[in-house]
Amino acid sequence: MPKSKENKPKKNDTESDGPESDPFVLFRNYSKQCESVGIEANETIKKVLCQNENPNSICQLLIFPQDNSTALSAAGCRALVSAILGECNDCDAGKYTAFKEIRICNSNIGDEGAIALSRLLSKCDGIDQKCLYLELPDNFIGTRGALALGRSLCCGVSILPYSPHHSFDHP
Amino acid sequence: MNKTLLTLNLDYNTTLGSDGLAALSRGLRVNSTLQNLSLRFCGIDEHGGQYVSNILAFPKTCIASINMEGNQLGGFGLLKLCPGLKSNATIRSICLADNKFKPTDVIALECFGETISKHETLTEVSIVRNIIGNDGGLALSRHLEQNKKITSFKVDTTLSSKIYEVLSRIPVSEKKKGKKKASKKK
Repeated sequence: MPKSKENKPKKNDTESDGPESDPFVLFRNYSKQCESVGIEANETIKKVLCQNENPNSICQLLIFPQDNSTALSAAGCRALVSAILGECNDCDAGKYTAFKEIRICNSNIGDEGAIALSRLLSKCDGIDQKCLYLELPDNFIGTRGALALGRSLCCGVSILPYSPHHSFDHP
Repeated sequence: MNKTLLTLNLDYNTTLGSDGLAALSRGLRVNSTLQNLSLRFCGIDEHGGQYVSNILAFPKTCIASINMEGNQLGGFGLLKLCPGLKSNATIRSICLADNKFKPTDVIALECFGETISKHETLTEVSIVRNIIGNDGGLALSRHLEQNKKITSFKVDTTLSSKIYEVLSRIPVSEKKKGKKKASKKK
């Protein structure tokens, strides 16, 4: 007889899932990534991941720098995504799977940062990664970044070839 | 393959432009999970209307709100946007505020009016900060009165008071807020 779904204990969204959703481990991995590319770890990310009173995993990442010196930049964004996806060679544990909301505002991540984030989006299959909300205002994202973001959100069926000046009379 | 993202906000990326929207739409026109798309102040010109239309026209789209405030779609962009909006059956809110619609864009406004007059799901429309003139307002009003499902329709206050009254629809909740603020001031 199949077990009823209602009898299964529901998993709390903020409940810790082990090292995969430990913000401290994520920060350690992010710092390693930053070190390997010769940049300093972003102070805002440090605050969000390490100085949170809530010991459970953090679902929301909000980066809103007060000035340019604390902006994430494209390299910082790449390092962060690599750490989230657990792609670095010496990463402790694997992926960080708890983020549901990512808001990176005014951080000069540009096309390269958007391309990095699109790699994260393309891994959001609803099983491991479950990012529901992505906000990237004022980040100098252009055509290349938009193309990468679009591709990551594509459901796999490409109907028409890409041309920015193409006019589609029959959408 | 992404199956989770519900909201994408790329506001104030002025480097995006219509080419960026074209690139983005390449994926979004076959996306069936995204519900909210915000592209405010992204430097999108009149060519962008076609790409918004492409996104909206996908039969399996889940788009519920789209915010294009502060771009430069103009009359041509609005005209190109209409076919996609017409065939869409999920959108509830569309914001086209501050998009350089002019009093001479009567044909585009007429087409937009006709599109929304028969729309089944649309409940919120904003075209504030567009100087559409009384002729443009009249072109819209002829069609808008047919659709009672639209509970919020925001237009610019530069219209004559008569046309403004016919066109403008403010939800009850916002009216109450306004009254509360006014009473607090007293």
